[in-house]
Amino acid sequence: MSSVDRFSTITELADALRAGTTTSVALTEATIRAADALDERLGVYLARYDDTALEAAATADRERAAGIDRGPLHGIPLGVKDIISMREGPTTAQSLVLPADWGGRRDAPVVERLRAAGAVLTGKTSTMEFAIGSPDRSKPFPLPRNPWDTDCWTGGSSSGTGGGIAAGLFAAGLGSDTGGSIRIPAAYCGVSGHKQTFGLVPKSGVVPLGFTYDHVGPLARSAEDCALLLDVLVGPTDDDPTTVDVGTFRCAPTVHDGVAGLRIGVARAATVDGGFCDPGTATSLDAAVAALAAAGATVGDVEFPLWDELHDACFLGLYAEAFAWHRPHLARAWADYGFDTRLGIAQGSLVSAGDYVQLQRVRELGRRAMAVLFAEVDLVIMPTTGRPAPRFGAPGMDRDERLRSLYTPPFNSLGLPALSVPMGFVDGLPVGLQIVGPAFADALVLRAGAAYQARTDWHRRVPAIAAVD
Amino acid sequence: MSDHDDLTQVRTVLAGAGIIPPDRELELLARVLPTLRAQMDRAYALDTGEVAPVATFRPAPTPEDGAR
Repeated sequence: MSSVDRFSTITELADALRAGTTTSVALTEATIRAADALDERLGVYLARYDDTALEAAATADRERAAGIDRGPLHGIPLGVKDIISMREGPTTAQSLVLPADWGGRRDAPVVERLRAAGAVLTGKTSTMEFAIGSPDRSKPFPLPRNPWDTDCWTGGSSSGTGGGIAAGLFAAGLGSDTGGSIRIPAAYCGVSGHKQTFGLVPKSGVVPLGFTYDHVGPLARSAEDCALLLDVLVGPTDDDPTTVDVGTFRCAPTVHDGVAGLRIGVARAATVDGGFCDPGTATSLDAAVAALAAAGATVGDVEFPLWDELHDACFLGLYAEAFAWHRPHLARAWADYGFDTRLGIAQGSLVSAGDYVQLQRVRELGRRAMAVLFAEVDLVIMPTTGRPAPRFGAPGMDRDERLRSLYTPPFNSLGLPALSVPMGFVDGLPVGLQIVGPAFADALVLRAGAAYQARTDWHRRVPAIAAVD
Repeated sequence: MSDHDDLTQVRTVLAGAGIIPPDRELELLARVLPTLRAQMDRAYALDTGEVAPVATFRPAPTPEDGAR
């Protein structure tokens, strides 16, 4: 593949395509060969669309030869999480419960937008059941294994998209995030993932989990690549009333503007000092702070308001919202759900109507408190998770400890933009740096991620298993 | 509340929704209940004053209406 390979960024691939040093068909064939070699071991795909992907790649090459340039995604192989409807095949949500015709085999708006940008969609990627379960050997679906250590989980629930990027099975892809499901697999797999401001990207055609917590967004190799995808995905639709029209919205043009002069707060007390953080993760955070300071930002610790309450408001609220959607399915097909899925969603039945309303009041209180914090700093950082990817079958933390070691849910309660970028390794496994900004400041968040990645090479690391072809 | 009360509450709530899990799974759910209740107590302990919930109802027609 000449100057680029399966681990190049979208920007590099797009440059090579424009320069004529590679073709979309060559890129797509390489990803197909890699999937042939690796997917059985990694569990990235629920469905592969090799034939239609090659057709789309050939179309992209013909268009380019004819002088048509659809932008940086034109001819780039991407994966799509299998809770998002696509015309090529059924959406399963990795469950035996979802009706086979869910979504009507129509493209969700986010898929339509990727196709319009010329992207090559290689297949549907694995998830946790309904984007909430956990790895489940009792159901007939692949177990998503971490390319950095196949005895470890990828994280979820955008498991296949995260693992697939790390292994070079596609350059980037779509995930969804209700409590961290883009950022957690991004952190565990050593890739970048962005949960955008709530309302920027339509969720129609996507199996819901928590209606007011769900986000659909990009995972990719770099923050810049996330910006390229987000710029294509943003915009309201009539059939998703939560979407907002923010007019012209572009993140990529400013992504290399750096962080000089920015004030960055470190939410250390809420996360690193909270009792659920590995010392190696804390050390990585210290190095990240130094890198951002060296890039010209002013970095110092801040108190994060209502951390525990916003953490609770995410899980309890999404359980309640999920229960509302799943109740009839649970009543008719309890045993067809995975064990953790059904017990997780059933907790929503224990949140009363009054409780649910109070959680929504807590979110509003949090929104106001964050406005005060963002008057003091431009961005807030912390580890994405306290610990790296868990090992399959290892003695588990108890449930509350496991959830508290995830530093992602408060930003689903708040709807704020949050990016995870690789920030080092602990015991040979990647850990992530989370960068959070005010509502609709996605461009600033991605800019900080790109500035960090300009000074580090964690996002360039490739797991040994991926070196095929 | 006692463990027995928690189990009864979980069983009753789910049965009201037409959901009848096995006893072992009801027991697991009942074990979660004290934590869940503590989390909600923490939410109610905040001074939410006159703060209105974030969820809002929009009375205007939407394009989806015609599809129903």
